[in-house]
Amino acid sequence: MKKAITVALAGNPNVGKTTLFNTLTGSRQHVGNWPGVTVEKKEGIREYSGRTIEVTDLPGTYSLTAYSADEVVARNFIIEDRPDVVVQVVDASNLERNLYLTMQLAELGRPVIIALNMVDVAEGRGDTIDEKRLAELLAMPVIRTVGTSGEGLLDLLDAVVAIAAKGEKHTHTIGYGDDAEALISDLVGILDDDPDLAPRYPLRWLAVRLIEGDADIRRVVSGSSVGDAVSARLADIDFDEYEATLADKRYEAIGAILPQACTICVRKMTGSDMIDRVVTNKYLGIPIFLALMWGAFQLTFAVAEPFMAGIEYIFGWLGEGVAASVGPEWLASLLGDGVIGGVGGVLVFVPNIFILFLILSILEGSGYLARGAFIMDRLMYAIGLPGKSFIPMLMGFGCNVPAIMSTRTIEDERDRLITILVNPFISCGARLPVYILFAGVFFGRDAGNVIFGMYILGILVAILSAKLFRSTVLPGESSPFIMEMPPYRIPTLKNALLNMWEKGSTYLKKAGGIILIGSLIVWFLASYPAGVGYGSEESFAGMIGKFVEPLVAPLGLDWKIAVALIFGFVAKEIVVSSLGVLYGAEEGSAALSDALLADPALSAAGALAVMVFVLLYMPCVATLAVIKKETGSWRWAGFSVLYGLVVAWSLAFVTFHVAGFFLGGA
Amino acid sequence: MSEYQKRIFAALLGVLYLLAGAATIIAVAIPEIGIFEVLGISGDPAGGFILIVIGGTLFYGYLELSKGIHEGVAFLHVGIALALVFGMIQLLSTGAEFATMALFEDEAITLGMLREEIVPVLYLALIALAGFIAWGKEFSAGLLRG
Repeated sequence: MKKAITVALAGNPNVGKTTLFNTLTGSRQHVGNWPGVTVEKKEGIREYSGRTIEVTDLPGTYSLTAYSADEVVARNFIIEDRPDVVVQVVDASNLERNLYLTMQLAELGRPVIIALNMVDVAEGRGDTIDEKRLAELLAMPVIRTVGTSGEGLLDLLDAVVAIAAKGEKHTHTIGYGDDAEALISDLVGILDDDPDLAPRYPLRWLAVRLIEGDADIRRVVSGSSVGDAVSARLADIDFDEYEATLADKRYEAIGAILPQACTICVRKMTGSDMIDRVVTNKYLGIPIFLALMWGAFQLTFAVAEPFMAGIEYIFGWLGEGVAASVGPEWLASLLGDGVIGGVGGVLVFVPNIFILFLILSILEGSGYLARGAFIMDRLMYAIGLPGKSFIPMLMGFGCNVPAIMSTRTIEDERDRLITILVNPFISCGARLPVYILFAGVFFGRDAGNVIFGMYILGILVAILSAKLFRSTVLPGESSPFIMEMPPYRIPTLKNALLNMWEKGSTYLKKAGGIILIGSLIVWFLASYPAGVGYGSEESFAGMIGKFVEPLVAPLGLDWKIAVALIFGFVAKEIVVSSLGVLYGAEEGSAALSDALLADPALSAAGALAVMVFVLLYMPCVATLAVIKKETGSWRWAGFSVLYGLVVAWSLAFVTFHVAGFFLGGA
Repeated sequence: MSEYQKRIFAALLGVLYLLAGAATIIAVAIPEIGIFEVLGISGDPAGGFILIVIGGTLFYGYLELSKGIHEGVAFLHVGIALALVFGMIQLLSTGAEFATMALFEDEAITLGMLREEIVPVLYLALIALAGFIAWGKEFSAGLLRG
C-alpha cells in the first residue's frame, strides 16, 4: 500500500481556506489543539486516485515570522513535519498581500501549490489573472478554485498527487541585495558546519530568519555547535533594518510578478488609499490624530453648553418648587439636596456624554479609529509595548469594563495583563462630568483644552505604566500586530445616533440607580447626626472627610472633595453628585459651580489636582470586579488599586504645586 | 483643473495656515501685536497647533506635487477636509455659545462679539471651501456609504 500524501493547507485569514478544507475532506475531520498552544488544529482525510491524502489546516497567517503562536505553529509544522505538499489558498482579489506569504513559504523549500480562490470576485471587478503566467513566474502550480462550489477541486487534487510523486523541493529564491546576500552566504557557511542543522532546516531560510532577528530561531541556533560563531557574525547587525529591507525586497519581487500575470490588479488609488496615505503618514499621522481628538473634546464641551443650560434651568425650577411646596424640612432637604442636588448635578452632563459618544461613533463608523490604533501602534511598539492593546485603550474612552473584557483577543498573557492593568488610566465617560465641572468653573474658555489635556495625560500614564511593567514585573518582548484596515465609509446619522444611544443610555440608567443611591447615602451622611448643620464638619460626612483630609491636603483639597473621592470609588459619576449634595446645590450644576468658585479652599491649581486625581486614582467597583475576573486573581486587582492611588496622588501633588506656581493657589 | 493649480492652491493655503498657526502661538507670549487683532488672532497654543497641522498637511501636498508625485494630491484633499472640519467645529462652538447667551442668559449678541469670533480657523476654511467645491467630488468618489 502506498504511503499517504501529507498536505498542509496554508493561507492568510479570510481567504476561504476553511471552506476549501471542508470541501476537500468532507466529514472526515478531526479537531484538536496544536501541542503546547491553544491554537486549533484541524485534520481531515481524502481518498483520491487510489491515494490517501491527509490534509492539515494550518492557522491563517499573513506571514511566517514568529510574532504569534499561529505563525510559529504554521512554520514549525512545515519544517518539522515536512508535509509532502503545501497548498496555499490565495485570495485572487488581494494578490499582492497574499503573495507575501507565498514568498516566505517558497523559502521553506517544500513543494508549494497555489489554490487561486475568489477569482470570481477579482474578475467581477475587472481584474484578469493569467494563472499560467503566474505559475511560470512563481515556479509552482497555480490552480483556480471556488471553495463553495468545489470548482477546480479535482485539478487541485491532481496537482497534489503529481507534485507529491515528483518529490521536488522548491528552489526559487528571492535576491535580497548584495549586502544581505553576502551576510546570508556567510551565515549559511557557518551553519553548514553543524551536521545536525542541515537535515532539519533549509539553511538559507535559517540564515534569512537570523538576520531578521527571529528570536525563536536564534534560540535554536544558540543551542547548536555553531551558536557562538553565528552570534559573533550577527554582533553588529541592525535586525529591524534588515527585516524592513528583506520585506521590501519581497514586495519588490511581488511588484515585478503582478503586472506580468494580472491586468488591473495594480489599481489606482481609491479615496480610502488617499486618506490613509496622509493620516498614517510618518510625520503627520500622530499630529492629525491629536488634532482630531482635540476637536472632539472641543465640540463635546462647547456644543453641549445650551443643552446643559436648559437642564440646569429645569432642575433650578424643580429645586425652587420643592423648596416652596414640600412639607417637612427633612423631606425638602432629601429631595432638594439629595435627589435634585445629587442626581441633577450629574444629569446636567448628559449632553456632553452623548455628544462625545456621537463623535466617537462617527469616527468609528468612518473607519478612522482603526487608523488611530495603527498610528499609535508604531509609537507603542517603538517603546516595547503590545500594539494590540491600543484598541482596548480606545474602547476605554467609553467604559473600562468592556475595554478590559476586549483584551481577550490578545494572545500573549503578559501583553494582556499589562493592557488590563493600564486600562483604568484611560479616561472613561464617567469621569467627563468631573472635568467639565472643574474645568468649566476654573478655566472658562480654555476648559476644552484642559479636558483634552486630561485625556492625553491618561494615555501617557497608561503608556508609561505599561513600559514600567514591561521592564519590571512583566518582562518580555511585545508582538507587533497585523490588522486589516476597513475601508473609509461616510457614516450614516442613524447608525451614529443608535450607537450613541446604546452607550449613552447606560449613563442614564446609572443616574437612576447607583448615582441616586450614592446621592441618598451622601445626603444621609451630610444631614446626620440629628441637629448638626447640613454638610457641616460635625456631620458624619464631615467626620469621614476630616479623617481623610490630611491625605488630600497636600493636593490642595479639603474634606468635602475627600468625601466625594471616597464615594467615587463606587462609580466615578458619584464624585459630582456627592459634591452636589455636599455643597447643597439643589439648582443643578450652575449653583454647584458657584459654590465651588466661592469655596476659599479651592483654587485653579486645586481644581487641576482634583481632575488629575479622579483621572488616575483607582478603578471603579465594576472595573475592579472585571480586573479580578480577567486576571483570575485579587492580587492583580489589589495591585491596580494601590498602583493607581500612588500614581494619582504623586501626579496630583506635582500638578498642584507646578500649576500653583503659574496660576497661584498652591 | 490641472495639477499645477492644485499645487499652487496647496502651497498658498498651506502657507496661510502655517503663518496663522505660528502667529497664534506667538500671540501667547506677545499678545500686543497690532495686526493680530485685525486678523482675529489671539494667543492659543492648541488652536495654533491645529492651524499648523492643517497647514503642514497642505504644504506636504505641495512638496510632493512639486516632486511630480501625483499621489501628493491626497494631502491636498485631506488638508482641505481638515480645514473644513475645524472651521465647522469653530462655527458650531460659536453658535452654541451665542445660543446659550440668548436663550438662558438674556445677553444681547453685539457686533463686537460677532467680530471676535471671526478667527483664522473660520475664514481660512472659506478658502478651503473653494477647493472643496472644485475638487471635492474627485475625493469623495472612492468612499463608501456606510
